[in-house]
Amino acid sequence: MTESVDVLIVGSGASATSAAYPLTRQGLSVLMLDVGNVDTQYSPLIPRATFSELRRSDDQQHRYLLGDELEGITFGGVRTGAQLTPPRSFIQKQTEALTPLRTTSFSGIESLALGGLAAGWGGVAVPFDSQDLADYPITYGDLAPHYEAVSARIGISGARDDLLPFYGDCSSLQPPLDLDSGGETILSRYAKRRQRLHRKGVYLGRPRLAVLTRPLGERREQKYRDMDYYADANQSVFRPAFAVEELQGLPNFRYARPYLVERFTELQGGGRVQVDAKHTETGRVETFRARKLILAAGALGTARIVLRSLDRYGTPVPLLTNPYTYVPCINTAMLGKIAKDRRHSLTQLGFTFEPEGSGEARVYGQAYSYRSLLLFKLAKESALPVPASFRLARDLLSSFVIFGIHHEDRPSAEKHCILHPAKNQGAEVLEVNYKTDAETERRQGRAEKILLRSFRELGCWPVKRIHPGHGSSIHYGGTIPMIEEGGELTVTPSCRLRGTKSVYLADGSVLPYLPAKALTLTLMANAERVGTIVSKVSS
Amino acid sequence: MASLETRELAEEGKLFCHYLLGGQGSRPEVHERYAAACATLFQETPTQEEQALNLFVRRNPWALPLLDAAVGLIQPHTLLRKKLFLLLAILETTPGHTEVFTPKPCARGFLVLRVIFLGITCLLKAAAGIILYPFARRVR
Repeated sequence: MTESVDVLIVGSGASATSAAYPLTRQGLSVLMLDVGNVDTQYSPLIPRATFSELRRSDDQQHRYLLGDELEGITFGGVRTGAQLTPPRSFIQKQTEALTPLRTTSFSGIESLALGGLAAGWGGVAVPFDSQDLADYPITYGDLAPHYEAVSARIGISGARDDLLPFYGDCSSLQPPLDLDSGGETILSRYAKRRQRLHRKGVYLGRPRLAVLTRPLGERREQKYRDMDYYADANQSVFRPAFAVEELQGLPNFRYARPYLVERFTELQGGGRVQVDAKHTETGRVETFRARKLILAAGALGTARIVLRSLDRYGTPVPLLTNPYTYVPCINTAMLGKIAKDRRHSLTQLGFTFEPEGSGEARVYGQAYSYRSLLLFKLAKESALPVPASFRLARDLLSSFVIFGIHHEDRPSAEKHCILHPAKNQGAEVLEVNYKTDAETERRQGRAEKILLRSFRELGCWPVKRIHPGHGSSIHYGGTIPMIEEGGELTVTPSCRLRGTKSVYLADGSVLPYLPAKALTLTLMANAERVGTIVSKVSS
Repeated sequence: MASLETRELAEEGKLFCHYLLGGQGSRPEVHERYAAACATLFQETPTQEEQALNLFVRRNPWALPLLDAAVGLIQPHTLLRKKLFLLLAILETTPGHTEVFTPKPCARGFLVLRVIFLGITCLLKAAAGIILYPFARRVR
């Protein structure tokens, strides 16, 4: 018998879970369909100890640090998701087989995990402001109450410092995380050179992170074990899986896995919607019905479902992804010193570059220290003999800092994806083409040069500038954009798919423009907004 | 009982450990894990050149530092380097060897001198290795 509910949500990531809360609060019956891969292999092995303690004592450490199949050891060039350690490898599991991509110009990743890509989220949680939303058909005012609601629910820590004008305020803001030794030296140098850097348009401060420094519900504060790339032991870093667990405690919410949603069909003139989903273990296609459907399978996953359902094979849809550059640097203030052991693995500092009066877009980024991703990965990048490489990496480890730089992205004809039907019993393929124009690259290069000079002023000497490829920011959007008055394959400002009455989109696919800011908090706030809209029209 | 290939790989692991740890002894389980890891990661048949290079360093352990320095510059993705990095990863995640991978405090001047010394010795080794490399890759 076909199951029928008020609202069906596809996906379990940051957006999907955020859309679910207002619906369940309204008393609507909600079914969440998801492939929902999880890690059962490594998480039970990881002791509740600091990175240093377990390195000294745990005989099993090679299993979760390198992986049983040595998946933590890769050879070859820079790749997207290099920070995904073996315990996080479930995030990408089955994607090659179930959601294949064909591309030579895009190195993005997708997820079929419980929690989606946010299962490995770095936690940077900043709202878009009016300037960021200038090209949106909605205003900051439309999102503001949802930013507040999501921030209070997931818990955000940070400081009201020089980045406040860019990050905005948040009434539930928890105190910032403690800085590690490297972060302290950079911030102290910044304090001395603040005015000069401000004149250049460079601002530095504590990051805004979805990481608890105070308990929130069942979740506990950050314990500074430096194991954040491996474990969620005390749940201090927000993961959507915690939200799914919480929602499952409600009588009107059900989570069903492992289902890969293939298509939707509107019934009764749009009064109901039917969803066909493949059970990924049995291969059987099952049918579910609902009054409303919310797609939140990620910008690429949602595009696949929409294009397939509307039979728009071969039709290009836009794709946005923040261009990303990272710059390993040597922090001279830390040379020869030992960093304190008590630290977290996430970003230590945030920064912004605002080009003066040129009308050019802001650039945002973060500074990371390096330790728990292991020394051999650093040594591997050097051309020196192996013992010299690792000794050099070891001696410089405390002074190593990585600045990640994000740029804005706007749609263009050369950035698109196309769904191709299955051929000769093969799988359906999403072809991705992504190319930026020379002028944009020049503009980004200019901004990066100013930032590199500023890093040097902060005592951080760049070793090299690395462009890991388009898609490596793991920020994707714009495939079915939100437009005031658009045509097919766009959504209305309330995120209803044009041409349908009961299908809503609530993930990155609807973002018509990506500012250089981290987008996850906006995805969540917008999804909460969509959930609120759907709960009103469904009640 | 371990196969001949496994025993050979374990012996190779012992030799490489000696090189990476600067003469320090290593634990037998590291060599066994190295042999198993090689079987997992390097399933493709190596090229004749790669086989020759491996054979040469097994027969002539004194040449390993020179050839490692040379291939780091001219063939950084060769099997020999991959094997050395694999063993480095294994050593780094073995409790008894963690200390070698832990940073120690030192005076900034001393650190600079050490880096300069490291650079000079690497250059000399690489120069000798580049001369040796054409012979090593032809060994049968």
